[in-house]
Formats: sequence, C-alpha cells, structure tokens
Amino acid sequence: MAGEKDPTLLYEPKFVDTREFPEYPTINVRVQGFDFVPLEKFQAFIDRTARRFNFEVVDSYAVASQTHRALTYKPHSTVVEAEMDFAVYDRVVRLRAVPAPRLALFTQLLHTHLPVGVTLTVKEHEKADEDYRYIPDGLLKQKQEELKALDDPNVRRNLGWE
Amino acid sequence: MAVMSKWDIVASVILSRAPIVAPQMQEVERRFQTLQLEEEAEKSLLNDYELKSKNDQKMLERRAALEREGKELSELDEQIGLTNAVREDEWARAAQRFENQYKFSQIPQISDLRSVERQMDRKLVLIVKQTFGQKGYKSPWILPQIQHRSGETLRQTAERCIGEVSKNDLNFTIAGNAPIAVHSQKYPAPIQKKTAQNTSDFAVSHEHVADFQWVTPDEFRSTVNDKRYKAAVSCALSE
Amino acid sequence: MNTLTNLTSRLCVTASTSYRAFHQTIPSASSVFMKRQKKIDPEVAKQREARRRKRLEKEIRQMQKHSKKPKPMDEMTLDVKSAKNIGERRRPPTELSIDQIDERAVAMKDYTRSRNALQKLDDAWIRSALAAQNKALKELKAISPELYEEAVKPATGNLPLTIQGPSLTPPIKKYESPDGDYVDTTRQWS
Repeated sequence: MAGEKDPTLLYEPKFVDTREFPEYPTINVRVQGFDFVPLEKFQAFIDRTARRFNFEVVDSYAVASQTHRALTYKPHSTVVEAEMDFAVYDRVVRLRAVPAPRLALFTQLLHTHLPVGVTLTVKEHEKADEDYRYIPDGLLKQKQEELKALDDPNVRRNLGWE
Repeated sequence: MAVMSKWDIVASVILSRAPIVAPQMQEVERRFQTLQLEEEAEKSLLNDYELKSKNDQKMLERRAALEREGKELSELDEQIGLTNAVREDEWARAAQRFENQYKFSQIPQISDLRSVERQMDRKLVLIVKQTFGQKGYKSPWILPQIQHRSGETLRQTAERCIGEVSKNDLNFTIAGNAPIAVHSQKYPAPIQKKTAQNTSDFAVSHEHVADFQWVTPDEFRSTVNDKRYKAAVSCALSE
Repeated sequence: MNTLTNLTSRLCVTASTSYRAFHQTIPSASSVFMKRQKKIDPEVAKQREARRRKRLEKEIRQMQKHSKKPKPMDEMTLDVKSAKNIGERRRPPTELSIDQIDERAVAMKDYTRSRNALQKLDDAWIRSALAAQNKALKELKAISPELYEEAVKPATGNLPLTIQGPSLTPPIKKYESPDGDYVDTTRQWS
C-alpha cells in the first residue's frame, strides 16, 4: 500500500530511512603526537578519508596540548642532570553517521597510513570530550548549581517555600 | 537457531602484525623532504639557541683578539660560560655512546619465517598449514580457519579460532563484528574474514596446526596458491 | 513629643534596615545548614520562587553567551617573548640559482604526483573493500539472518581503540633507562 494511494501520505511526506546498517551515533578520532605539522597533515587525511567513506564530518578541531617535563637524575641521587620540556599536541576529527561494519575498514586504512610517533584513538563521543576543549567556568557552574538546588526539598524548606 | 543450509560457515582470521618500524622513505619523498627542510630553514627566523650560537661566535672572536694583545681574560671567560659548540660536542659523544651500547639504528634481520619480529618495517600476516584434527593431513598454506558452531556470533568464532591456533595468551584485537570478505568453495564453504592485530611473542598450538609462517603481503601472494582465495582477501593485505 | 516622634521614626528606620538585612541574606540561603526560615504565605513563596528562577536563568544565559573560551593553544598563539627581538632573528636572504629553483619545483611536482598516485590507490582500496564487505554481508544474510544481525551491530567493546604509530628505530631489548621523572606541567584550570 505504498505510493500516492496510501492515505497517510496525503498530507505528510514519507521519510525513508536510507541507512543500511546500524550506526555509531558520534565517533571521535583523536590523534596525538610530539610534532603538530604531521599531525595536522594526518588530520586532513582522516577528514578526507572519512568523506570518501561517506561518513559525516561534524567537526575537526585542535585542543590545547599537554606539556611534560622530563628529568634525568645523576646516578644514585636526585640531582637533576638534564631536563627537557615537550608537548603532546592534540587534534580531533568528529564523525557522525558511521555504519558499524565500516568502522573497522576505516580504522584499518588509518592504521596503514599512521605517521611515525602518532597515537590514534577512536572512541564514542562523550560530553566530557567537548568540555575538555574549554576553560571551565567556575562562576557559571556555581549559578547552575544554585538553580538546581532550588529543586531540593531541603533547601526549599529552609527558604520557607514549603 | 541451527543454521539450516547446504553451506557450512567457516570463519577464517587474518592475524596481522603492523609494521613496528616505519619503512624507508622512497627516493621521491627523501628528495622532497631535504629540499623542503632547506627552504623552511631559509624562511624561518633564528631561535634562541641559534642566537646564542651567534653570540658565542662573537665572544670567542673578541677573546682571541684580547689574547693576541695579551690582556686579562678571566672576566670574559666567565661571561662566555659554556658555549654551544662545547655542548654540541658533549651531545654528539653521548649519542655515540648510546649507539655503541644499543646499536638502535640497525634493524635486526631475522631470517626465521616463524618469527613475528622479522621484517619490522613491513606488515606481516599469519598463514598456517592446518590438520583439521586428522592425522597425517596437511592443508595447503591458508589463513587460520575454523568451522562456525551454531549459537556463536562470527566474532566469537574468530576469537575461538585465534585461541585454538595459538598456545599462549595473545594480545590481539578483533576489528569489528562484520566480515570483510567472502570466499566460497566446493567444500569448506564460505569463508568469513576479520582482521586482527597483535603484538607479542607467538607460539603455535600443535594440536591444530602443522606448520606456520609470518609472511609479508608479497610473500603471501607467492606462497598461497589458490587464485580466487587470494583475490578474496587482497583487500586485507594492503600496506 | 517631638523627641518621641523622633524616637519612633528612628525605631521605624532600624526595623526596616534589619528587615532588609534579613532579606539580603537570601542569595546565600541555599546552604542546607542555614537556619530554617519561617514558613511564608504560599502565594508569596510562589512569586519569590518564580522571580528567583527567572533571575538565575537569565544570568546563566548571559554567562553562557560569553563563556566557552577555548583553552589557549601554544602552537597557534604569537610567541610574545620571541617577537620582541624579531629584528635580530632575521636570516640573511639566500640567493638561489636557477638550477636550484628548478630542482625544487621538479621535486615538488614529483612528490605531488606520487601523493596523487597513492590517493588513487587508497580510493581503489576503499571501493574494493566496501564491495568485498557488501558481498560478504549479503551472502551471510542469505545463509543466516541471525548471524547477519550480530555482524552488523556496533562493536562497542572495541572502543576506545588506541593504535600507536610506528617508530623510526626498532625497540631496544634490555634497555637500561636512566633515573628520572616525568612531571606533568600542563596548565591546570580549576
């Protein structure tokens, strides 16, 4: 009973679900390394490849690096012999509409092209990943908590509202 | 949920080891890289270290001039301190010491086809001669395979396959749930394949496996005979 | 008489200030340990609650507009300290011979061509891999729909998946690492 004769289709169009396979909702592909030039090249490659797989690229962004200091001590003491600062740079490509069976093929291709000294992490997107990009806003958080507290029966009683 | 069909499902596993060491650059890449680095150096600004080197140079020239005139040098020496040239010498010596101790720029050449550490700059794939539980039988070189049992998912079959082929605990991951290719045969019927990666010492269980090799994709093509079989898995063998 | 009115009026003032002072403590009243307030008329309470919620929501909205500052990325910001003596940092200009310029151009062309060829190989790989997988899944569906259902499910157990890129030199067996430490110096935001 498909087509124009279907009375349910008279006023509303039919939305056909074209998805062939179950999908991952959102996938984050994160690359980390000591040098950001190859990292950014590879980020571009991930983006390009994802489009060729017909995944939807939602976002492609940089995150602040993590910095470390490596110290070496003189033998049998804690006198610093040498120290070195280095940064682990961080780039993320966020994908949507990733059909489940295709992800393995996609990661296989990325693995084949992974540059020297780059770590690739593929994970499902969480809110924490988004929050990590920004400076946490203490004042905002406080206000939000205050608003939430208004629902708490204890607080309400103390305010004399109940 | 017995599979009622004239086909038997056989899962076979592509157990691959990724390159440990990056392969050598090709001539085109190397030439482009050297020229690109030159160009970048020309267009760049001096960094702090290079500024100090330049400064050191000047100071040393002044010191030489003063020495010729026979003047007091101790104050200037204090100013100069540790020059970059001295530090570079020190670093070079330390690097040489490390190289002598560990020889880490040499890639060990292992000729044993059974070693998972051979050909570090290539991708390796495990191929086996299986017995399928029959004494005296040896299959041709194939990817490890196992018959699917009813009630299992294909992924579980693949895990069981790796479990039976290897003796020790293997650190591996199976990529996804879905097969990556199919191959039909008169008998053993369709073969479903998955990719997996592993990195660890590898020993084979002799109960199911008569012989095994870790081969590069090129060697795979020359060792395995069946053309259609090769075509079916060719995708998994790209480097 | 005069003094009395004075007195009462002053009383009045003190009363009202004390009332206001009481009123002002409310913003910090969300503390659970605060002394319980007297129960107020439900109508008034409702009104106060609505007002309070509205104010907070507005504040949050305003702050959200200006919040969301990304953490600064060192590699993308100007190095102010080094920019101060930028004049000293310039290199003497290099004169390139015609041959050198040609060599660079040729190398660039060759490299681009090789990358293009690689990309074509990749595209071919993607096409054939997708085709092979489709064929495999189709046959699997024909043989066993249950297995097919399992096979196309997302493999959540696989994620997060971490892959380490190759290194330039092989791993050293029996490496004796020097004494030392790693200190995390990443800028912290409380």
